[in-house]
Amino acid sequence: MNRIRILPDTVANQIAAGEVVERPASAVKELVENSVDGQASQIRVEIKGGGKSLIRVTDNGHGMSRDDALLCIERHATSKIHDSADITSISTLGFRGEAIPSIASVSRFRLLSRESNAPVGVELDIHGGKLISVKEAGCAAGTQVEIRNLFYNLPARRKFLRSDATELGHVHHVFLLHTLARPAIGWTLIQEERVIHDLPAMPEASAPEKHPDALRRRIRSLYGNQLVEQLVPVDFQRDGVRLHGLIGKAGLSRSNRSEMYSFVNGRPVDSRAIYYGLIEGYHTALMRGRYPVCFLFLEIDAARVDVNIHPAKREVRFREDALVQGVVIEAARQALATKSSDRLVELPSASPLPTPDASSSRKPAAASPSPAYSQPFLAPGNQPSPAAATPSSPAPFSHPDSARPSPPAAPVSQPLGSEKPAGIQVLGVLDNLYIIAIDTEGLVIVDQHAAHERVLFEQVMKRMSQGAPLSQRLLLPQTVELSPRDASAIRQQLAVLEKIGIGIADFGDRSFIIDALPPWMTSRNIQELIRDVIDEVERAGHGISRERFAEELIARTVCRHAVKASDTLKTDELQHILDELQTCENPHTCPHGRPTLLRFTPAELEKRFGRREMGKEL
Amino acid sequence: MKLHFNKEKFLDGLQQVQSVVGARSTVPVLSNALITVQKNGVFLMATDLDLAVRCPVEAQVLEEGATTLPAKRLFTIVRELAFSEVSMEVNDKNVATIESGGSHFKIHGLPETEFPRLPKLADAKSFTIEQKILRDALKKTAYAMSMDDGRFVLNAILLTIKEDKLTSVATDGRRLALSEYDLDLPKGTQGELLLPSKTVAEVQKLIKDKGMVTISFTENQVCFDMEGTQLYSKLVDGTYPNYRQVIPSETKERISLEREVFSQALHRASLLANEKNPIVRFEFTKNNLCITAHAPDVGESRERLAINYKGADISIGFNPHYVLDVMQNLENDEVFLELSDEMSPGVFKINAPFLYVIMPMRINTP
Repeated sequence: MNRIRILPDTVANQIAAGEVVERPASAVKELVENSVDGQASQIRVEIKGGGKSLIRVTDNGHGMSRDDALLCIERHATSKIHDSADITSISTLGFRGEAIPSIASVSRFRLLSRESNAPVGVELDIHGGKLISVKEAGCAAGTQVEIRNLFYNLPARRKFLRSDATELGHVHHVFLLHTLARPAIGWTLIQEERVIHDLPAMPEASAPEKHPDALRRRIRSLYGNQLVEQLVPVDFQRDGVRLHGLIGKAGLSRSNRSEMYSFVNGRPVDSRAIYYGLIEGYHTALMRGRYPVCFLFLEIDAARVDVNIHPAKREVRFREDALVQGVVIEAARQALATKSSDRLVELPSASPLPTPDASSSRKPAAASPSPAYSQPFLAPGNQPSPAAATPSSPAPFSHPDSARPSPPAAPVSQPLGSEKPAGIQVLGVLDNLYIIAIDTEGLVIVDQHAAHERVLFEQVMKRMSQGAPLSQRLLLPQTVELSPRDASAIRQQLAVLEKIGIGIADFGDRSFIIDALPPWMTSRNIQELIRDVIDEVERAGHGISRERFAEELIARTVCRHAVKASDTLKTDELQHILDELQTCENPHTCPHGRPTLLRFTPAELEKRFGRREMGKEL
Repeated sequence: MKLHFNKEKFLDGLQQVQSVVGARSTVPVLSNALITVQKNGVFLMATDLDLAVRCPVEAQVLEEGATTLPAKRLFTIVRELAFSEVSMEVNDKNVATIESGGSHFKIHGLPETEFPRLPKLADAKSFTIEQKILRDALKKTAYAMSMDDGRFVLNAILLTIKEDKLTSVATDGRRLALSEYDLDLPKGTQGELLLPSKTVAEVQKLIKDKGMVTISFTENQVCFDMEGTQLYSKLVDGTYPNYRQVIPSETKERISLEREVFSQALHRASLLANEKNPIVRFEFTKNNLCITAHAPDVGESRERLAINYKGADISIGFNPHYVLDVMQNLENDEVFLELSDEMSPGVFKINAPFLYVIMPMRINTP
């Protein structure tokens, strides 16, 4: 008798189920993805008993004919790809044709589907992989899949399921991920017959320019207003890779990665390249050991990303990891930089709080160009000449660093030596530490030590970037031997390292000889030092600079030089710190990543005083 | 145990041992000083397990015994006493009673048995030299030791005894100091000792200008006996880099400098070389030295010195601290700087077997 046998299909499916369907949430994921791939615009997910008793996913997608429905329960039957060439450029969420048969083999499975032009739909009943009945049925256009008693025939697997609440939490997470990934689709989550989420479809989200708005609305309905207000848009493109979405402002952080959402071509994934890139992009704006909040969408040619590496497709691999990471770094940097500059310096005309000396500091001519006022001025001329436009041009009130050329008729806007724009005004100081101030957005509480640290840090960094890089020659040049991977990473960056003052030469094979170091690099174990350098090079990619290596040292030094928590400062000094802070590139955190300032908008104060209900719009 | 002592004399002894006591000791008895009272004398001792110092103090012995008392506390108490006549009595429970004039203190000690024993240096080689030679050798090199805790062999001074010569070397990988002395030693005395930096510092505190010191050493331990006061220490276990190879065998130019004038000018110039830009430029032209520093956004400095120089123009950058370090630890009026070009090491020398190699600093074009 042969020892080796071909397993019957049901067993094969049950084995596949072990990989694909781990728990109710994974079944929900597979079904929801099918609905998305089926062009649905409304998807409803119903759950009972944490998904163990019932999962029902209903969509209004294109549905299936009787033959298709019968085929889809066969293994490796799919409409999503046709030949092996398609595997390299998968644009649908699913492609293996494994999910439905796998799920069907471990549950009581019912499928109802009707194509929109068919007069009647089809209903399949499958129990534990065995087809029980196929009949005609009346139903709405689209597909409904019902899974009851998941793992009923696999008691071992069933035993490993957690409590209803835990399983429900996982289902919830999957649902959340997909609703964020597809704002264009309307989503409903019903749990134990109660509607938990009912998110309207926003078909406009498919247009790239409307996407951020739709995403914001979606996040608002899932997380509430407070989070949305703390997000800034990201949009960046390089070498055919586009990254867009929303990320938390500098200063917003979480203790874990649970609110880092990333989507590659609409597929929710965990990607090291994206996470590391983002954390690097925040850099000192994020406290060490904390994680940012993000909703990032990466669009990349499907051929440049491999989704076929993880059974549940939770991970993807990029053909050019470094490129993606670079894009994320750059995108985050830009997004955070623009935001911080307009945040503190700009004078929004729609200030909810009248700044005490705002009117006195501005010339009347330029004082009140509310949108309504400036509109007629710009309207008549189809192309107003710069000279004509200047007197009342809103340009002075736009971002100072925006691309618009500043008007030549500067005298109108700000006579030199007059009062500075009333960015921030000191009211007093608490405990010789917290500066209480107001600016156009409301109340600001500043930690004087952290703020001064940030100011000094940026000054020193700037000075450092201007000075020529120094390189102290070593008495005893040292050879270091690196792993092949590290060696090739370093080899590509030799010129950069030379530039920052590290005298390093290729000594053949995997050896390098180091004969000079920048003076601020202390002579710890050189091997270790080079390893650190490699890590930095890997993390920062092309953005590597000698300032980076010196950062920690500088942060430590400025910490010593900055005003201390208990130093008594005069109002002028406080004001000066705040003014300087405004000019910082990243005013929101100190070099160690602690926040420098807390902000209370009038809206928030209203909430606290009970003038406005939590979370409700005005 | 019971003794009478003079405050100042006792304080001297305490001072010698108390700096060895670790600030945060995990073993309580290591915060204490061992006091041994015997007919032939009174001894104080402290150790941090790497290092031990034992010194005799003058006292009148009334009853023999031994105990350990908290070193820092004992030191402060004795220092603050108003009268110089002090008596100390310790009971079986290691509680010490200190009385002087109207002052009365009781302090709790720990049994003497808990205190670590002094190491026995088995098969030790030893030699005796003048204290002032050792003192000079350490002074002229100690500052060049590495202060970073990366390559531990560099956190040490290498003392070599060979062919009637004592050589002291220290380097941190960027500069190297070497000082050499002729000795008259019994034939065949030789050895290599890597003294840890803490030991160097302690020896420097104890050593005097007069008298002799006997250095006994084994593979991994050393004892300095400075006429009664003994310092025991571990030696650094490791191979010191081959420093001979970094000493340039020949240089092109030899420049004589007045140490005092030169180091003051350098000090002034370096006021504008900060932590982030630790570089000064030395420009040697005919009979002229120009020292400049430049700190972006801060300013620049320039010091001109008339010197006796006939060689080719050389411009070279050094870390000013490295140059100031050697200047401060030399006493000669005249020092010599030997140079070849801006990429090669510079060597400071004096009219004695001493040299200081210093690697230049280069300004990369960004």
